[in-house]
Amino acid sequence: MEKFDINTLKEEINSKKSLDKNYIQLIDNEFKGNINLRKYIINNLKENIEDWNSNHFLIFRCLINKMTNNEVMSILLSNKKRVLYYFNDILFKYALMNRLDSALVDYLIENFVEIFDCFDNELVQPLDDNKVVLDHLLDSEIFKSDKCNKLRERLFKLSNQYLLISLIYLNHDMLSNFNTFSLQEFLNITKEEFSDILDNVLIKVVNNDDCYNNFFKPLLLKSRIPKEFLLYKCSNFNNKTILEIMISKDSKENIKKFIINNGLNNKYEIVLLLKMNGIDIDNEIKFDPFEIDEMNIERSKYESFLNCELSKEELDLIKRFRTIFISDGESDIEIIDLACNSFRYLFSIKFEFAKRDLQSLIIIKLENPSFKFKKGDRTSFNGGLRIEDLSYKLCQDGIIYIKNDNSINDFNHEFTHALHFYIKHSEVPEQFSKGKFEINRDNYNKLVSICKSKVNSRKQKILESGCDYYSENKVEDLVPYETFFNELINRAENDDTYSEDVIEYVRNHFVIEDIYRQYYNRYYAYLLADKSVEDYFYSIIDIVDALCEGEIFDEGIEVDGYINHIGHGKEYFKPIKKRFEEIFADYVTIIKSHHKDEALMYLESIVGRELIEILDNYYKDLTYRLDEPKRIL
Amino acid sequence: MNFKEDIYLMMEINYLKVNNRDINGNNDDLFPFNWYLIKDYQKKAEILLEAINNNVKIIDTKKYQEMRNDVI
Repeated sequence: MEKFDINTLKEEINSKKSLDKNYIQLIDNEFKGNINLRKYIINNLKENIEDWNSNHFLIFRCLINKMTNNEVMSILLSNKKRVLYYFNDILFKYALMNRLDSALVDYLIENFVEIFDCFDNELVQPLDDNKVVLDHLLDSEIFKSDKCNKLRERLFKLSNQYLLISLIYLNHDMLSNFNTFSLQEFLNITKEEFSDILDNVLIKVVNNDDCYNNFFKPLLLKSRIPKEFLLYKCSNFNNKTILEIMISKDSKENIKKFIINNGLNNKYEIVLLLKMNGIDIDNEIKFDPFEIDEMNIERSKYESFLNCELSKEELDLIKRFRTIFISDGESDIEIIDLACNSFRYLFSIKFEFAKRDLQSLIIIKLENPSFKFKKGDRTSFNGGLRIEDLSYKLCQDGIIYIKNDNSINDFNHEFTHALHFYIKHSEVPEQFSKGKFEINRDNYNKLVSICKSKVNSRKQKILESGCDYYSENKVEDLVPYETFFNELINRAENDDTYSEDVIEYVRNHFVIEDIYRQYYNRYYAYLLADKSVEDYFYSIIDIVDALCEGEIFDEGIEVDGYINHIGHGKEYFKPIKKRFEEIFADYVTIIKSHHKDEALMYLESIVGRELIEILDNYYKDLTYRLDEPKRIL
Repeated sequence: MNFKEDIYLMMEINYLKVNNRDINGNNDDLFPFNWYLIKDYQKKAEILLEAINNNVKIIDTKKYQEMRNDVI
């Protein structure tokens, strides 16, 4: 994209041309170095605040990260009445993330700013109240004791709008932060204890068109809402779900976009619900009903460890880490929470280097502010621009992409790549480059056959137990399929041209379980490739693949006619650096998994003691030393 | 996907079941060449019904033969 000057920007803003992502990125980059531009934008935002259009908000949103608190405040204060209405979501987010802290709130109150909610009701110190409620809500004890009544009193005092934001954000935060109860549990409590409040809020928000378009929808779009919230049934709307209400209020195209942008298009309940309402998103996605469950399996592997109590020091360190990453405004919260879970888990199993690694990560972030975590379609670590000829690495965009935000193994693997990259500059130790490592093929084949038999017994289990294996809420899960099926038959019956014999046959012979069985079979095919068998299996094969320089990947491993390619392949493993990078990351993933002893035993029997010792020493030496000379350009 | 395609898929699952086949296995021999290129799902469902009822392969059903004469 070509560079632009201040006049172009002026024109762009004034012509209200819609801004795309690249453009915002460009402004974002320009903004860092251009003082005039910064002044211009701030002045422009201040002057015309009455006529702000969506472009201004977008610009503001991308700039707010780079502004000082005073600049933000001066813009907010320039229009006292309306501005908080528009910015409540950002304010809330920032207050929550401790960026502006209580300073902004105090400042606003001192300056007698009138604050209105989206119903034009005046609010008295909403943020302050909100914070207190938040503190209470975040105290996990509250739902287990009789404090609910106190909470209820507080919630009644709150504005509807803020309550809704709290609920949506809390759904998310509760689950990922505290792990004391599941989202389903939380919604059940909300349903029982606060359903009157929640329904009241929803009916107000949704019935008011202005509020729905300017507040409710944008809020949902930004906050990565869980599917449970969309499927929440409001008693005030004849038990319709929130999604159904949205469908009745909005155009099909918008709903489609909304679902896809939120990444909810692989949730089969949502897809079926949309389908029943005549919105077809089959072209956009290939949804797999068990994808979600598979991710849950990943999570269930370590969930029991997360309830262990940690020391105050450990908790503080995790908290600090979380705040630092959240405040960059770019990392995705799911991955940050995944990282937190990873470290909680490591602390709870008393992993020797957990503290050291977490501290290293914090230092890396402080030294490389652009280093971030992102949720992506793939799982990888991107170290940014590397200049190999120089003795240092120029790091611009260190990004860890994670696909499955429940898999701490994926995180540990990519995180090790990052440590290796930032601390050791991806160097290969001499012992490794000079050493020759032979693979014990017999032991390797034994491991593969063990895993195959595990897959088979698992398949048997799946087929025998039917739906129960994957879902405890068997009946609830069947409902959408059953409704869907009946709907289908109804439509076919209403079509006069459609053959009645076929309808008759389908009605008599079709068993819902068949659909499940079909998916089980498909799911089974992915079992091996998606590392669901055992944590370490994939890592060991990857190590063997690297030592064989990609042969294992090209061969593939056959299970029941399906060939799964595990590893990275010949092309990838050509340079020795890549081989060592992967072996090292896999090794660290193995020693961090809770099958450590078993996995190391297998690994040693295949690759030999020597390699393990090299890797072990290398990992022990992976400490971030502050006294090292800083890498400068 | 409309309801015709969905019902067709259910018929196809039943067709495989009657023939004792795995849904994800290689079932090419049960289906005529170019079967998946035919987009008339209503017709295809009717053909499958005939194949199931008479316990024959698709290629041997009357309806398929008729349709083939139409198409080719």
